Amino acid sequence: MENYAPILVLMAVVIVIVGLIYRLPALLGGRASARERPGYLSGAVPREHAMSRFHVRWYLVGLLFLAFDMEMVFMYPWAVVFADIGWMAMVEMGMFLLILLLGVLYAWREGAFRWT
Amino acid sequence: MVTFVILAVVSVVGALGVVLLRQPIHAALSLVGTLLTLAVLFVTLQAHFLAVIQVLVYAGAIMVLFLFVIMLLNIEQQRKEIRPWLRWVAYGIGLVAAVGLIVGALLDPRQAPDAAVARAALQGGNALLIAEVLYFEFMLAFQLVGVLLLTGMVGAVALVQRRRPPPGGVSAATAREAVLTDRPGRPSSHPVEAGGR
Amino acid sequence: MDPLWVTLIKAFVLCLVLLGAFAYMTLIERRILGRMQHRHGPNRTGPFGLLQPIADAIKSVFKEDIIVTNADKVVYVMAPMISIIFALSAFGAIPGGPAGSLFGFNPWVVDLDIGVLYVLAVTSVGVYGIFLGGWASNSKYALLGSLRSSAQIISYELGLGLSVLSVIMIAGTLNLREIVEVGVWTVSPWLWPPLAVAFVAFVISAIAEVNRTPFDLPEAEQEIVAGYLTEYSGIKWALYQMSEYVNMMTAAAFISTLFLGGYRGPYVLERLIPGSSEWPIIWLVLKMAIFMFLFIWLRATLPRFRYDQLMRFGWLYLFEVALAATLLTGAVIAFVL
Repeated sequence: MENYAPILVLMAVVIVIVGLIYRLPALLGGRASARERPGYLSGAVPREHAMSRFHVRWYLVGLLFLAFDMEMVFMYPWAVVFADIGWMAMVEMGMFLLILLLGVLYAWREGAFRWT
Repeated sequence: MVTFVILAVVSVVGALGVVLLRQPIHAALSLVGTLLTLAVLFVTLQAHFLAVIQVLVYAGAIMVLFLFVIMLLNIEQQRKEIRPWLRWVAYGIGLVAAVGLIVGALLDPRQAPDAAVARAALQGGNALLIAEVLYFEFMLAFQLVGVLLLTGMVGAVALVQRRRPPPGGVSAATAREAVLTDRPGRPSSHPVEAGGR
Repeated sequence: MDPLWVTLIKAFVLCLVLLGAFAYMTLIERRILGRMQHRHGPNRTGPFGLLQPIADAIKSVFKEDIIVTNADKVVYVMAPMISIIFALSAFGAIPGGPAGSLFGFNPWVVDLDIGVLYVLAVTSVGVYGIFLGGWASNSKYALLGSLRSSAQIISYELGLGLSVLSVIMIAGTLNLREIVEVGVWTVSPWLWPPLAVAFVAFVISAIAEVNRTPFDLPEAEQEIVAGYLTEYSGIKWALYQMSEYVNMMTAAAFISTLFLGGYRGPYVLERLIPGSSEWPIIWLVLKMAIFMFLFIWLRATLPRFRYDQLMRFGWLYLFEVALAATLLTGAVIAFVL
């Protein structure tokens, strides 16, 4: 914990400073006028929530990222000890990566990256 | 101890927020808060590596996926409840589970290990020790995790991607038409368009 | 380790310096862009336009703070704060010099065993600011911008995280200070090719992470007005800008620390003036300046990617190249050294 107290100090300082900046307009400037403010839609009036249509492919990007983020996380401890273990580590990680690369190849074949 | 109590309270409040907030995005944000608090809890246990991984994977990746999924919900439709009685069933199950958990914890004769013992056991939870265990003792499990991730990827791609035109014979135009009109015999593999919202 | 009150002061100074640097980076950027496009850039407010950032700051404080009627107010107000808080917090782990070189104190705010992961993790949380800002605005353009942005950021985070691995493998540590002390380029000439590849991949991913040209699709003004910034005004808009520039500076410092010897001075100068590479802060700032200039230069030079190009580049090229660099490093360490 001792080494990590500075993070909390830093976070606290950051939050205080950002909070102060955030309050500045309210302290110095006037209030916002109470008008109807629709979201900007190139002059048209928005009739529905902006969220009404959403393409499912973003979900795919999210999931692919999650899979590879996990892989990345596994690679950090591996990278730290790599020099000590040597080629054995290389083979192990090679297998792991090969399995995951199959997924990328499949996604590629199915056109997940075509994005049209 | 004081730190623990504060963090525990914050994380439980966050978890309650996940369940009680009406707006799915607020609930997801509340969950992010809980996850970040858990990361700080790991730090207090000297499991630094675990703490950072918690932030990197849970807060950074899984929650982004959650947000993308929440976006698939239609924000105006989800106001009306489909089966109101389910709510009470869920309350009942939650209550039973909570009581069971508390009773179980109280009846458990084991003592929570001292913080110092926990620290010694975790040995800093640093990357080196994790690597030694992960890449030797649990080598098979590690490779199986790869297979699991592969399954997830393939599943997601298979769910989301449109069916490709069958090889040969069908031109791109007819294939597109087939997808658009969703002719019988060609089930759309596109959940949103197939009304799978 | 320094006492807590010193940490407190250092954290304050760091924040203020970063905010000041942000203000003047906007001026420097506009001046350099002006030069590159054969015009003057802002030069009317004060000598050489030096008062321009102050004028901008005053303006953004007094501008009307518009909140869209249908917006999700809580999230709308929170989003810029999330963005800037995590942007500022990330910088604290970057070491500015050898231990005890800053008036007897350590020239960093936090020194972590897992510094690399800390910076990556904290910046990855910053994506929420952008995502939620666009979502809460309840505007089509903002939403599209934020979706694009979050997909882009998570895609290029892979390239970023993977290209770091070469450095970690060579240094055998996740501590940023120790990485600097090891000096990854001095280990063996055999490692230069994979390191060079990793370096290029890292710089490209870092540019994409901070949404700079040619990866500035989230705010592509010709297509989606201003992306996630569309509905923001006044101080909230300024905070978003601030977090973008602070992220740029963090990226520049992170690149320098990992790949270019961080706070250490050039070898040649060390021979001429012994002890010069021990000077705190100055070398890091100089190296950062090079990258900041590079970011601005690219903005003046390169056109923007199309979105499908961006995704394809990230997933099919950058990711694989970074992985290859990692495996090549591994092969060299395992079989040659």
